[in-house]
Amino acid sequence: MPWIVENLWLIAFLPFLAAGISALMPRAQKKASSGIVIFAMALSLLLSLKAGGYLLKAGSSHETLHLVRNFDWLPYGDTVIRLGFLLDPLSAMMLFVVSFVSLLVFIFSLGYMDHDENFTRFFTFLSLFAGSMLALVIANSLLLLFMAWELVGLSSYLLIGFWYQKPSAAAAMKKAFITTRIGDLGFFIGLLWFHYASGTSLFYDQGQGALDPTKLSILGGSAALWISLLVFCGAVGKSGQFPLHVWLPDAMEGPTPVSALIHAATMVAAGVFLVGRMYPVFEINPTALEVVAFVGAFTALFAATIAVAQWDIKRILAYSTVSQLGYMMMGLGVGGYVSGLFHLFTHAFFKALLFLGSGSIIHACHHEQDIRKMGGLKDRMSRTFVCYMIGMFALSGVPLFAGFFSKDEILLDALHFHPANLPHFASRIPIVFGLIGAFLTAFYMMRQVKYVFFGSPRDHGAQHAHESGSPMTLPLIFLALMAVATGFLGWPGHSWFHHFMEPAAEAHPTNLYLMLGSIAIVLIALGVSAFVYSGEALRAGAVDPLEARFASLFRVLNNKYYIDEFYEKTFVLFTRTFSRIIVRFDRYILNGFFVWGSALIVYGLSLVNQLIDEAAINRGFDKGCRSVRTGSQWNRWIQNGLSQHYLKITSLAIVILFLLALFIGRT
Amino acid sequence: MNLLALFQSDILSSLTFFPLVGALILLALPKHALAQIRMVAFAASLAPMIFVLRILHLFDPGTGNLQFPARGTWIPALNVDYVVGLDGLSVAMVLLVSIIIPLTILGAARIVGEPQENKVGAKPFFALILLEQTGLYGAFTALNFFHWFIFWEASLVPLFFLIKLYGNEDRTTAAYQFFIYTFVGSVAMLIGMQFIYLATGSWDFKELAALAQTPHAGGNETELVFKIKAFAATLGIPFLTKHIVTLLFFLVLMGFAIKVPLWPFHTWLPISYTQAPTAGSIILTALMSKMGVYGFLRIVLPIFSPSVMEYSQLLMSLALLTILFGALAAFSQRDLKTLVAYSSVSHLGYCLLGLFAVGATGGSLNDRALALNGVILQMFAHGLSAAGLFYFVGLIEQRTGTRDLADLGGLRKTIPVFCGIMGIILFASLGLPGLAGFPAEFMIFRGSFPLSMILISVAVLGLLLTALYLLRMMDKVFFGPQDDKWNQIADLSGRERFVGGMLAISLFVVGMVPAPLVALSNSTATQLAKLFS
Repeated sequence: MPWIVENLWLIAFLPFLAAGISALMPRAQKKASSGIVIFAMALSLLLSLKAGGYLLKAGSSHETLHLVRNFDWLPYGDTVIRLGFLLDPLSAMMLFVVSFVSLLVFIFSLGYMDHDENFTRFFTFLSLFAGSMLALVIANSLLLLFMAWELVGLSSYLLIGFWYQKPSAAAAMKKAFITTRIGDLGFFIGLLWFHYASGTSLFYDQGQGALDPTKLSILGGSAALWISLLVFCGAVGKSGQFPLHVWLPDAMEGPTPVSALIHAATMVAAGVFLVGRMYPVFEINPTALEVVAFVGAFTALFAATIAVAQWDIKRILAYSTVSQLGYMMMGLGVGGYVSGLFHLFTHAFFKALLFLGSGSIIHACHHEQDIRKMGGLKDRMSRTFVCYMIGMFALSGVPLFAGFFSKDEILLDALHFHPANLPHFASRIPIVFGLIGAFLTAFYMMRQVKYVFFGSPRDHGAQHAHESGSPMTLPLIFLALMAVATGFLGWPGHSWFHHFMEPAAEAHPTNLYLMLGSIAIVLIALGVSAFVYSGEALRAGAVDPLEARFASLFRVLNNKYYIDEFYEKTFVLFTRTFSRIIVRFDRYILNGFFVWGSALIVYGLSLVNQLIDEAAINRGFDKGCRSVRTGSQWNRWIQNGLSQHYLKITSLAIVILFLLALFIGRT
Repeated sequence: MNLLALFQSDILSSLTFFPLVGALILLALPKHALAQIRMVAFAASLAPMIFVLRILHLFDPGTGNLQFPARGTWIPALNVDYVVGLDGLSVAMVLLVSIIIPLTILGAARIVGEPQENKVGAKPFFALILLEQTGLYGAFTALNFFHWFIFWEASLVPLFFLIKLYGNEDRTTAAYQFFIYTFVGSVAMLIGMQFIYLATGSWDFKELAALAQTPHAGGNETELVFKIKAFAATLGIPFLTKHIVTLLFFLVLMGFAIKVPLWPFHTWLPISYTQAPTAGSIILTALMSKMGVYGFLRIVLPIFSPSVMEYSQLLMSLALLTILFGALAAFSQRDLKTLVAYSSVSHLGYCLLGLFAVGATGGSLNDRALALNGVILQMFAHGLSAAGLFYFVGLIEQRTGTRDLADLGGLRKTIPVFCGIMGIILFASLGLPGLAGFPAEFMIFRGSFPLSMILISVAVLGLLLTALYLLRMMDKVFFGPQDDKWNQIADLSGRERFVGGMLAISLFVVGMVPAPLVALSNSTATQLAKLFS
């Protein structure tokens, strides 16, 4: 077994170890703690590169080979639950993304979090996250994947609530954990079922793993559908797909590096990764992938409409993330395994770039996040501006930037989406939603950029803004390079990425009309947006031109279709009310009526008994005797006092019994 | 064998009675020598750990049979023997008792309502805890009903007094309700077992279990059922004769259902747990409730396996309600201790679910074995995490003087280490992977899943509800803006760090490497599972 496969676990272990060490360090040890964390991350990146390099060198012979290192975890009955680590193109790709972006974000945080009193803790949590996320991508077992999945959820919870004293942050951390856990319930049931149905906990195991063809073939169509949909629930929660998307925008309460790393580049993409990992199961029953496609397409469009009407720089990016994750799901759902993952790949870099860029801006504007209070930052923060523009072009899908290539791949696959069991118009939904979404994406990004960088400063924060230091701008530059370079890996028709991920399968031939059409859509959207948000619209106190034209529609979008309010009035209220009913039922019906009721009946009977005793016999001695034997002992128990007697009797009895035992035993 | 000689040679008897000796020594100490009292108590509670380590060393996980057996004639007239032994069902519990009680004694140094602030004094307090330890060891090692029942009841008494003498404001009501309610259950069980004794002439768990497996010659019922029915027939009540097995089953079930508790027999619990002193709450939830689950494993499953199979859907539904209603009730509590008490109800529901699922049809032997192993691991995991939660809730009360969630908030700022360790314990309780609760819950759910897919899928909701109330608690206590009046409270002291840290580390180790613990129970659990396949 190659060295790197044997030691793949180190990639996840090193950040865990660093987190553990850093957790035990006192607050003041800022340098040492961040140093250890960054060092461990750098090692993980090197190992990840080595892992990727090994696969590249192995060449096309690895196409059906999944390199695994398995071990026994939990023996029971006459069998055992095994876990393991897996190196294949999918995990290698994810390893690179996660460790590369993590390292840059860690470095960025050196500058961004410098003045925070819990600096050390921040690095502990970041490292915990990185370790869990890396474990997630190399897991060779749905169980291990689920375990890492929950741990990234924990890190996300801790980091969203990093500024726990803000009530909004405290609320957001809870909301994030609970909402994703709703999805995880489905995932958990899916996990139980998958383990039960396949009889192994491993994905790949020399032909005996659950995803190996022999085991897949014994999985029935309906079981496969159920398992896929249940597992998909988890993906919906984690990747912010409708209807569980509500936590992701609120998660922006966390420090911006967290938003960049966890809530844009890596963790939220874990849902997409999960579908990618379980793809062989999803493929068994076509309905499963169709559900993925429609949920993704709907989310892509739906979140894009909300992003158009937001004011908070990070929330715009958050809804954009939700929308882009929708594209990835859609890509996977319409059968584009590679295109969905390629978008995950490119998006990780340019969205991390945008978030870190927004972090640089927020940092410069004294933690102002409202784009209406920015403006004119183009000249004050030129380096951030250039990087941000690259990220924005990449996200919008301007030709030659990364998002252009990956989004077009998805649209191309959506064009070829013709499942036999769907009517024609239904199979057109993904492509239509995708194109409208592309228009909106370019539109809201141009709107944001115009508000932030152009015009003149509308608040003193923006007035006094100046460029951030090099720990913050250097990662931006690296990411900006990636936001251009990564696209070329997927050059239409000659996709290196495609060849790496799936050497066996052929991509659809490039469709020139589709490409030109989508370019036109993007350019028109950018133009319209640039035109609308210029001049008067960028003055201080000006009303958003969209708001002026379509006031009520804008309000609905600005309030995110009131979905939070809807959940509050239905599910939350129901749970709360039901909980109160249960408590009252416990107190008044079960304990009040039944328990105390029966106690009172016994008590009453004993009173009657006592009265009869008194009347009929009226002799103290008899009464005393009987009270031990008959119902009136209940009376005495309920009244204070007899328990001490009882104790005496019991202990006396025990002593007597022991003595008896000793003597009788002697014979 | 002579009992006196037996006590000297038998490791389990030594284990059992060692804390009792400690309690006696304690009584000889002067009343105000608090430091010595505490030290003696701690030493006496920790010393059995030596026996336990030796037991673990000698324990053979390869066999499901009884180990370290010892038997002495006790009361020949009643056919009562002194019988002790350990197997996979009990060994983890003995270990748990040996971990929890010393930590409780160590931790109980300065907690509201406890020793020094109480006029009764510290001596009886620690003596009662040691007595309780003896009771628990006895109940987990005794294998003869008569002998076992004495310990079962004897373990009630110290707790009654812990609540009554050292509890909070409503302690008297709580103590009586606790005592009488659980006592009613015990009486029901006693009646049931007495009937079986009269029918079979045996109190011995193993003999009864063997009878329950032996088919009666020339019939399709077991020897046990045949004897019970034959005896019932002599009473001459046709109704009784017909339904006697079911009746006995439910009588015996009642005792355990109240102790664990199973919905709807849980209402004594919130008030007792809330009103008990911290040490009492810890023992109640971490150890006493386990006696109930253990009773199911030791008595109900082997002796009443046909009845368990017959009523498994009903019982599983009740376990489901225990999980869900317990969690829902926890969700709207304002009193921290009541909240944790309801969380215990809900968590023990998982144990019961796994137990009763074993009686359902379908699935394989391995599935059942997994569920039973999960039940035992869950007992262990819950013992650690619930003990930790009650401990920390007690510390909060001691520092702030309140248990009301509405009064607290933002404490993480002043007491970050406290928040960190309590957070770990809380997430263990929530079933976070990497900590002990997760493997246990996974095993129970995975084992039971093929046995009852729909019910298990609904029960998974409990995982969500648990997150709801625990995160709400975390939020209300530690996050949000902090009231200025909590600016001065102290973070964990060295001793508290040790107690909390030990629990957290144990939870972590069991969560990461559950295999050694599961290996202890696996053979016995598999043997037990065979009865239902």
